[in-house]
Parts: sequence; C-alpha cells; structure tokens
Amino acid sequence: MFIVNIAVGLAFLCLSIYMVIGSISMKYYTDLGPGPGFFPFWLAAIMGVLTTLWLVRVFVGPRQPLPEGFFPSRIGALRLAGVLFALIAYALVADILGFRIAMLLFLLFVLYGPGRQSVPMSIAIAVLGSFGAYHLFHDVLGTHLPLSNIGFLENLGL
Amino acid sequence: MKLKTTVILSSLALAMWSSTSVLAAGFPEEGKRITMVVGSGVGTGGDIFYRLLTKELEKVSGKNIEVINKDGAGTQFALQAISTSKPDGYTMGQLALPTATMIWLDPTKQAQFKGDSFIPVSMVMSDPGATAVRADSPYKNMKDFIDAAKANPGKIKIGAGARNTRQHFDVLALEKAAGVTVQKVHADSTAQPVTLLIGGQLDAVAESVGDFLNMVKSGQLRILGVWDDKRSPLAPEIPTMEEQGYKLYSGASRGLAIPAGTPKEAVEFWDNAVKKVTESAEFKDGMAKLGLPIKYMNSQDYAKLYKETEDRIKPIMSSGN
Amino acid sequence: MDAIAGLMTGFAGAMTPENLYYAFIGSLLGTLVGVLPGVGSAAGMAILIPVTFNLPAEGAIIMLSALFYGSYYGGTITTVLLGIPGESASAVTLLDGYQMAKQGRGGAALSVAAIGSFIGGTFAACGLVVAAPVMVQYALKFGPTEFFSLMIVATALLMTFAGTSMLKSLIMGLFGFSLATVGMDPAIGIPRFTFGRIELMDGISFVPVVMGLFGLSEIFENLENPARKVFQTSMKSLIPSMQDTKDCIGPVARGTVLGFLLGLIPGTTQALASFLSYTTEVKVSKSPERFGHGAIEGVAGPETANNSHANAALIPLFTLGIPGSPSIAILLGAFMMNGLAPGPLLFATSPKLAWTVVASFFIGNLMLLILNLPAIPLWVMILKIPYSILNGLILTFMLIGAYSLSNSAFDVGTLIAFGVLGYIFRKAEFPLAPTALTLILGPLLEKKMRLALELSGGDLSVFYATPISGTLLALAALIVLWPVYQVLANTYRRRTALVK
Repeated sequence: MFIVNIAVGLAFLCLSIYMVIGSISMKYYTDLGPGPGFFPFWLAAIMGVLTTLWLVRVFVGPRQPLPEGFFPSRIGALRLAGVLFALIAYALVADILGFRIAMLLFLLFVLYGPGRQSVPMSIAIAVLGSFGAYHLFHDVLGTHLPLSNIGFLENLGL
Repeated sequence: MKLKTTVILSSLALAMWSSTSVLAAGFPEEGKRITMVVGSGVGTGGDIFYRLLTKELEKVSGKNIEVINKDGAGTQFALQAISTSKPDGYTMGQLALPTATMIWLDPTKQAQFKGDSFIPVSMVMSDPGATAVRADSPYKNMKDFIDAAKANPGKIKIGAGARNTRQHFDVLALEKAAGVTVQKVHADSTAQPVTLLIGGQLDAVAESVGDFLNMVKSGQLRILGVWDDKRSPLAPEIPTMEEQGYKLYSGASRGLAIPAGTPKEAVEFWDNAVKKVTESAEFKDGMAKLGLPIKYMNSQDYAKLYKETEDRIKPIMSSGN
Repeated sequence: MDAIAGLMTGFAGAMTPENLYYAFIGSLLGTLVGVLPGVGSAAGMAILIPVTFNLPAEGAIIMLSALFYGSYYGGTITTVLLGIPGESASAVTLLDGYQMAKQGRGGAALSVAAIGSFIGGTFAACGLVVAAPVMVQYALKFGPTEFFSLMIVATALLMTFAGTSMLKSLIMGLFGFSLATVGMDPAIGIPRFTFGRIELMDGISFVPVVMGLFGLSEIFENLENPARKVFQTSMKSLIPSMQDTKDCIGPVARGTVLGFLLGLIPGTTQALASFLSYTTEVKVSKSPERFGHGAIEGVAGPETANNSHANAALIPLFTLGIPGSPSIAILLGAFMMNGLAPGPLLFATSPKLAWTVVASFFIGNLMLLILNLPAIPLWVMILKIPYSILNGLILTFMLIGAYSLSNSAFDVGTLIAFGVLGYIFRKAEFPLAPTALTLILGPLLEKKMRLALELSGGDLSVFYATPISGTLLALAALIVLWPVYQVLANTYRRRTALVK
C-alpha cells in the first residue's frame, strides 16, 4: 500500500503544482473581486499542502501491506483490459461506423470475450443492444445517436 | 498485378461515385440524411423555434430532417459542428446574429471557424432588443432612466447578458450614446437577469422584446424602449429608442447557416424552402404563439447583413478587450 | 377560503376522463424518460411539444408537467439498480442506493424513494395552493449573495464529513473543486485549463464524471474478480422493514422542507436540493460512517428533496412566470403557446385552468406512486439477468447516456477517463463522494460570488453585513468550529477531571 499511497499522493502534488503555475499567469484580482486566477491558485495551494501532509503521514506511519486481491488474477486483468480496450475502441469509431455497427461490435466483443457467453447469446444480445436500442432511443424517443460518415454505410442509413 | 488493378479500379469507381453524389443534379437526393444542428439547449426558446422551423421545413421539402442539439458555449459547439460538416447541403444549422459573429471575433473563445466558414442561407426571424424595468419602477421612459443614471453615475444596475454578447454591447452603446456609466451585471441565462429584476436586485435589464413580453402582459415589467427603427408589431404601444432620441438599433436574429463550399443549388433549395415556410399560415400561427416576429431575408440580403455585422463588430471587439 | 374553493373546482376539472388521461400519459412517459439514461425531462418534453400544439391548453400543460415531475421518479430506478445516474439530480442517490442494490435491498431503496418522492411532491403542491405568492416574494430576496453563503454552508457541511480519513476526504473534495475551475471563468470570461478544447469551455460535464467515477469503475472492479457475486437478490427485501421506515421519517421530512424551500428560489437545481439533503443527513446522523455503504437515509432524503424541489420549482412559474430550469421553460412555452401569461394575474384571469393544473399535480403524483410501487419487483428482476449480460447492457446505456448529454463523443471520453480514475481511487482507498459533491458546488460557488459582487459593485461586506447571508455564514462557521469546540471541551473536561 505504501507505494500506491506515494504514487497517488505524488500525482495529486503534481496536479496542484501544475494548477498553481497555471493560475499565476491568470489575473488574480479584478476591481470587482476575485479574478480567474484566484480560486485555482488557492484551491491548488491548499490541495498541495494537504497532499504534502498526507505524504508525510504515509512516510512516518506504519507500512500497511497491500490488501488481498489488490492485483487482479491474470484472467481478471485480461477481462478488465478487454473491456477497457473495447470502450476506447467504441469511443474512437462510433462517429465513423455509426452507433449501431459500433455498438454491435462492442457488445459482441464484450459478451463473447470477457463475458464468456455463447455465440448465439452474444449475437442476440448484441443485436438487441445496438439495433434495438437505436430504435428505442432514436425512432421512439427522438434522441440523436452517432451515425456513420462512411459513404456506403451512410447510404444504407446507418 | 491483378489485385493492384482491382484496387485502383475500385478506388477510382469509389472516388467517382462519391464525387458524383456531391455534384449530382436534383438536390436533394433520395435517401440522404438531413440534419439541423441547433446550438440552443433542448427546451430553450431557441430550440423550440428551430424545432418549429424544422417541422415546417419537412412539410415544404418533403424530406425528413433530424434535429441535433449541440448545446454549449453560446452556440459555439453548434457552429463548430456545422463548419466541420460535409459541405453537401445535407447539414445546416442555427445561425444567430450577432451572437455567432462575436464568437469568432473574440480571441478568448479560440474559435476554429471564421466568417467565411459559413454560407448564410436565410434569415427567419428577428427580435429587436429592448430595455425593461419593473412595472413599479420610477422610470416611466428612457429619459427618466438616463436622468437617473446621470445623477448616480455607476450606481444604476443593469443586467447586460453574458460577457461579450450582444446585450453587453447594447449596454455599452447606450452608455456611449447617453454619456452615462451604469453598473453592468452579467448573467449566464436570459431567465436569470429577469429574475433578479423582479426580485429587486437589478434596476433594468437589456434583452430582446420577446424575453419580456410575457412579463409585460402579466403586469410585472415595463419596456422602456425598443431598439428598432419601427415599433414592434407584437407590442405596438411601446416607443422605440429612436422616438426617444437615441439612434440605437439592436436585436437578435435567427436564421440558417450551411458550411462554406456547399453547392449553390443546395443553398437555393433551402432558401426557397424557408421562404415558403415563412409564408405558410401554420408557421405564422406558431410564431405568433411563441411571441416571435418573423422576418425573412433571402440568401443575398442575409449575406450582406452577415458581412455588415462582422464589419460593425470587429472594431468594437478589438477595442473592448 | 378562496384557495380551497379554487382547488375543489380544480379537482372537478382535473378529474375529467381526458385530463386524467393526459396526466396518465405524462406520468408514464416521465417514468420512461427518467429510467432511460441520456433522455432528460427537457428532452422528453421537447419530443412532446409538436403533439401539444394540437391539444387543449389544460391537457397540454397537465401532460407536460406530469412528464416533468414524473421523470424524477423514474431516474431513481436506473441509478439504484444499475449505478447509472441519468441526470445530475439522481447522482447523489447513487452513493447509497447502488450499494443497497448490491446488498439485495434495491427493492427497499426504490420503495422508499417512490414514497418519499410522493410525499415531497404532494407537500410542494400543497404549498403552491396555500401560501405560494407570499413565499415567492421572500424567495426572490434570496439573491446571488445569499446563494453564495448557502454554498459556503454546504461546503462546511462537507468538510465535517469525517470518513475513514479526514485528510483523504479533504484532498478528494479539493480535487472536485479543482475540476470545477475548468472552463470559462465567470469573472472576466477567459478559458481556464481547457487545453484549447472547446468542449471544455463550459466546464467538465458532471454526469459523465459521476457515471465514470462510480458506475464504470465499479464495473471494472467486478470484472477483475470473476468469482465475486455482484448482486444479491432476494424478493423478501422488496418492502422496507420497520427499521427502514423508522429511519426514513426524519430524512423524508427534512428532504421535503429543504427541497420545497430551495425550489422556491429560481436558479437552484434539483441536484443541489438532493446534495444538500444528503449532506444534512450525514451531518445529523448518529452513525455517519454508514453513508456510502448502503444507508437508506442517503436514498430517502435526496430522493424526497429532488421531487419536492421539482414540484416547488413550478411555484415561481405559476406566480411570477419565472422559469427556473429548461424543463420549466418548456412549460412556460406551453402556457404562452396558448395565449396565457403565467404570473401574478394567472389565477385571476384564468382561474379554471390554473386550478385544474394545480389539482392535476396531486393526481399526477398519486398516479406516479401507484404506477411505481407495484412495478418495483419487475424492475428488481433486472438484477436476475446473468451479470456478464447485464454488464454489457449497462455499458451500452452508459455510452448512450454520456453521448446524448450534448451529442458529443467528448463526453464518452470523459466517462471512460473518469472510470479509470475512479478505479485507481478505489484501489488506493480514496473516497469518491467528496469529489462528486464539490464538482456540483464549485461552479455555482464561483458564479454566484461573481454575480453578487457585480451587484454590490465589488463591496465584499454584502456577504456578512446582510441579514440572511450573514446568518448563513455564521451557521457555516458554527458547523466547522463546533467539532473543534467539542474536542477542546472534552480535553478540558478530562484535564479538570484529572486535576480533581
């Protein structure tokens, strides 16, 4: 836990230093009161002080061992990485392939891979979650969802 | 070798196909998706106006048009989306003048588009600016207000929209024209300054006629002057600023913009459609209910106004900051 | 009494079959819109607007208002069962509601939320009948200055959340405040920490952040532990126990009053009402450590407060014509489209319509209760879906919800980024709630301060020298200093005892 605490503490410290530096170049005070730099400066400064206190306490205090299950099992890590990858991939391609195809692929991957569902089940849920959800949200409720901007998919209305 | 030929041939075919789809005669083509990008948040006055317009445009053009709200940063998100969309005539959206002009002329907004990123299609409505006070206010007309402002420099509090918006510049123009200074209070929505005015925290508010009409009808507010060269048909009893000796004109207009580079025929198609809409009885009825005055302007006139607005605001923006 | 007589004629008007039908459709759609993430009440009402063009004025307004307050009933369902807050108003409910669902008490949470919502909504409707005009005049005195001081009270309440580690909570709270500084600054209008992204001009969107920090990071944690049973579902726990009911009386009562009072003040949001209710409950609780781990008070209070607020927020509309939020602005539009001007004269010029609509609020809230309570077992059945499938569907809803907030892929990115961040914080045992809460407060705090100073011409004394604001600031000081005093008093007592 020591390393984790130090790492998170340092990350917060970096953030507060970054904000303090960033806020110095902003106007600190205007003739009507605090300017744009006022709040970021003080928030970051206090955050920096508190984080330093925290880091000191971590150094001085007793070293706690990592709690059980801190590191996921190999399978768990793979599932996590798989879903995270799928999410990022979805975010990147949704505007290109359109919601329905991107979501279909996303769900197929998530359900069949990390979800360990059978092929027919994965396909059924994926179709429901992509084309079905599109129908509900777009056609019934009038919500806009990403559409494809690739010519031939666009002409298919996807 | 064979593969290479196929690739070249097919990409050639694809290129021809896509280029013909842009240049194809007979706009709009069947099966093309048409979108209307609206910069006002769902349910706001601007959004309801564009939804009404879209509904009528669908009737006139016989096409489905999908409304997409890109709400935020004072229509900047929507303008950004319009400017980066394909210039094929199938994406258009909200153009509010002079709000839009002020966005790309304000360097702090870091806009990635300029005046020549858009083609103004047509203007649909224009709501003249107005200055209002509470109904129980001692200021009966603009003169009372200006006299009070002269007697108490910097003490009269006036709601002046968000920073660097049309309302803000209206107040600056009033200060200059009347030789007074007032305390400008910036708000982040139209409802907020009116609330503060009713609550007694503000002495006056600069917005548009349509923003006040409801409260004037319910006996809570009084409009001191309409910033136009003629009286508003929705409130003919209220004098203009010109009548009261101030040559001040302002207002918020709404129309359609389409990305630069869009074929002329597409612009003409939508301009004609808008013209028909503004002449339809149903649209007129809907607009009257919303309290918004229709003002149609065709592409040429609108483009002229668009240019004039930019020329007029440029010096103000550079001196203001 | 005029009001009572008026209300009676109103009930007669609202009980006609067609008006009952409009109230029913509105309630049903409201629930649906609330359940589905990404479709807020404003969007739902916007869909209905074309329909209302052709309806009678009463029917249109009854339907739209039922949809508006009905969406807050529905919003709880997704928040509690799936950990997806569809709207910022239900974000606070997630802290304890989702935990309850994991412990198999999702049904109890939903029941309490529905009953609390009903009580809050009905009370606010009563308020509209009895003393609305007088109270609104007072509420208008609650300007930006007072608003700012109220935010300070909220911050003070937050600071006293002990949690496992005071220092960690404070750091996380400051982290939320820091995130809130991103975007256009309210003082002179320059972009802060936006990295040239125009998507950040209006600040970091709250809903994807909360969805990521709580919902997505939770899914990440569950994924890495394949053997873990995620939801315990037992049908027995559908009904709140006696103990639950007893625990909820206080939170519901406080939530009702708090939501009602805030609702009167134009410019406050439902999210703020549920936030303040939550912090108040933690503060008054004898065992604050249970919060965040499935305390039923943490669901009852905020859910009551946001519904009470939603109904009370209609009061400024009816009496002054002031719309406090986009959804209410749509209602104002519905009035205007029918040639009516809500305001002080509404009850005088068109009494029948006004009272019919007011009476419909009682009917609508009752309908929502009847619609919602029996449906709870059905909703809870969702959790019987095998987790890996449910997981996929939750992710789908999250992705739709995040995207449709402003129709931009940027918010989807925000969701994923904060999901990862939340996962890291969970691993490092940093509490997430303070960040979410300060992210609500931050922008309001700064905006209202600026507005107050523009109104006062830069005079800082308005904050402490005016009665309401001064009292609030004193209260904030008391909240912060009280624990300090207690500690000092205890030490003194111990010392004197030792001396003796």
